[in-house]
Amino acid sequence: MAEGTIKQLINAPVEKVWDSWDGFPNSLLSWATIGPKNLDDGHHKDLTPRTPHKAGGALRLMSSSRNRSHFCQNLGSLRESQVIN
Amino acid sequence: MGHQMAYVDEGTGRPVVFLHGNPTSSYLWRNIIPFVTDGHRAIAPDLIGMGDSSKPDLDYTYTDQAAHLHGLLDALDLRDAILVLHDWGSALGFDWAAKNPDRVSAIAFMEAMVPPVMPFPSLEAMGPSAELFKNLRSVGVGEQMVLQDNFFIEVILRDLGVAMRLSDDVMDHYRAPFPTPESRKPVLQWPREVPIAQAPKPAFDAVTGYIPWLVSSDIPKLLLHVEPGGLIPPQAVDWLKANMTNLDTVFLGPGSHYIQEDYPDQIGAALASWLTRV
Repeated sequence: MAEGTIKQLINAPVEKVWDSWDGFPNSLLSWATIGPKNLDDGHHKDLTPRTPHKAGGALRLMSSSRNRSHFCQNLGSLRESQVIN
Repeated sequence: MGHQMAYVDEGTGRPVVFLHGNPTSSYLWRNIIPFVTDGHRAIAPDLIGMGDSSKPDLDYTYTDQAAHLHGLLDALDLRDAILVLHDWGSALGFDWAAKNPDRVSAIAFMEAMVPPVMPFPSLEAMGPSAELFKNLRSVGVGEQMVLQDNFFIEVILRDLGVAMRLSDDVMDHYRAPFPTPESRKPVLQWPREVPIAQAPKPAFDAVTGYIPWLVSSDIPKLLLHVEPGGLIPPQAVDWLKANMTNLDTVFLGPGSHYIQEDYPDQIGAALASWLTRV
């Protein structure tokens, strides 16, 4: 299906969303710019966390949910598998 | 194909199928599944090459992934199923639902591959994201980033995709399926399957194939969203509210992409409540 057909079908101003979409978090994009440069230099990339969006501590941690770790520890006993033919 | 697909299967009742994306596994849903197993059967597969499923020598294209996952869903003979979808698991789930509308009765999704963001009309139209995707899709550069440096696990998942700091124990679970560069092949292939400028064609055809059904189908849908998000930014939420039939939305708060790690209780509670109404 051609893009024009999709736009017509869903009848919406797709371009307007694109105009204002910034993509993935800027910090991720910063790394993407740094990565190839390091590759060109033959250096191992520095994977030290670059997390300016987390630095402010504005996001609340969901510590209570960590108590459910017993579930993931038991996943093995719950697992099934099927052979796909 | 003859490959093993691993899946969590817990509880009894109407099936609720949880589908993960890149570079995660059914482990992503570990804190959310317990909210729905009282009265429902929770099924959470690991995609082929990921989690505990087999890691055969495949190209890991969308076509490969769909053949295995859809084969599993068909083999489970699901009826009246509710899908809970994230990332590439959303494309696979929407695709299966559009082809099996009589088997699916409701869909919840988050950070998913939906319009108007998907499909990407061109690399240039992606703005600042273009550089990242150009690198991931460049032979040699993408291999270095993903196969050698484990970019998706150590950067996107650990550092950029979550608001909270993932513990070493949690990170080890995510690292476990991908101990070697060779094992990370599916993780590299996923960004190369993202439909940009109508390529690659099978993935583009899949996404554009399910969009009309997804937007217009009157089955109940639930969007769980964050701000700014990665795949569903606020502008896209507004668009979906205006254009998607029978859509409920729940705003969780600030977040990025792997929102199951930041908001498991809120997602679980919202799902449990929604399940009583669909």
